[in-house]
Amino acid sequence: MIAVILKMAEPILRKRLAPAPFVMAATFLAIGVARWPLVGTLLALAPASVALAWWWQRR
Amino acid sequence: MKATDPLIVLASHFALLSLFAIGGANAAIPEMYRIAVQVEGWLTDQQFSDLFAIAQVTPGPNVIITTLIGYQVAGIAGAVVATIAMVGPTCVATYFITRVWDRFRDAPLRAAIQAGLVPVSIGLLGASAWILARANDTSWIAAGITVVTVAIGYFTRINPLWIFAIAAITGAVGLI
Repeated sequence: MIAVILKMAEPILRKRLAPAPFVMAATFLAIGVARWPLVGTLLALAPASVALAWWWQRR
Repeated sequence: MKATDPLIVLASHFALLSLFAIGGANAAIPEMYRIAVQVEGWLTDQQFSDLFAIAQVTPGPNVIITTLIGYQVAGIAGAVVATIAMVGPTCVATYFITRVWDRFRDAPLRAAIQAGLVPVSIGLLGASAWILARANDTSWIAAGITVVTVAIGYFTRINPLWIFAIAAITGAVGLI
């Protein structure tokens, strides 16, 4: 599972200045390390991530 | 049937969880762990990890872990309720979303939604892996097996079932 995650994350991590790596890290820290509840965390993170992706595409 | 009935608690937790499992059942592992181990106390760390391992080596989708959790909580009825609760709402939602989704094939917002949800789902999968590794890697040998498994999975094309088999033999002879 970790190996698959690393392979999936590789292309995202290559784009160092894009918001995606930061969103990925924020999700990992919030859910995996801080153990925040999934529903509340996703209700905050998912729209923020989409908004950041939208802004990144249009710049 | 009371609101504290295990079947109702199972159904309500998994039905809600199914709608937020971005990235599949494995992405929902942290929340399943939080509910089953920390909130409801249905399982111990070790039991949860064991169910995850069984779900991984069992043929079929990863969502089998919800069936196993349901079975641990309330037997056959729990397994059926947990599985339907986890699969049902998301199937209905997928049916309607895909009908609309195709209409907006070239819309920039669709591309933004896809691009925005990918890092979230990878972060969730990473969180799942982290929680399972923390719960399982209680010895240096177990941590070593995790590291070696990651290296083999990342750098080679060996079927993961072989790695499961080797780890199972290691456990059976008492090395873990």
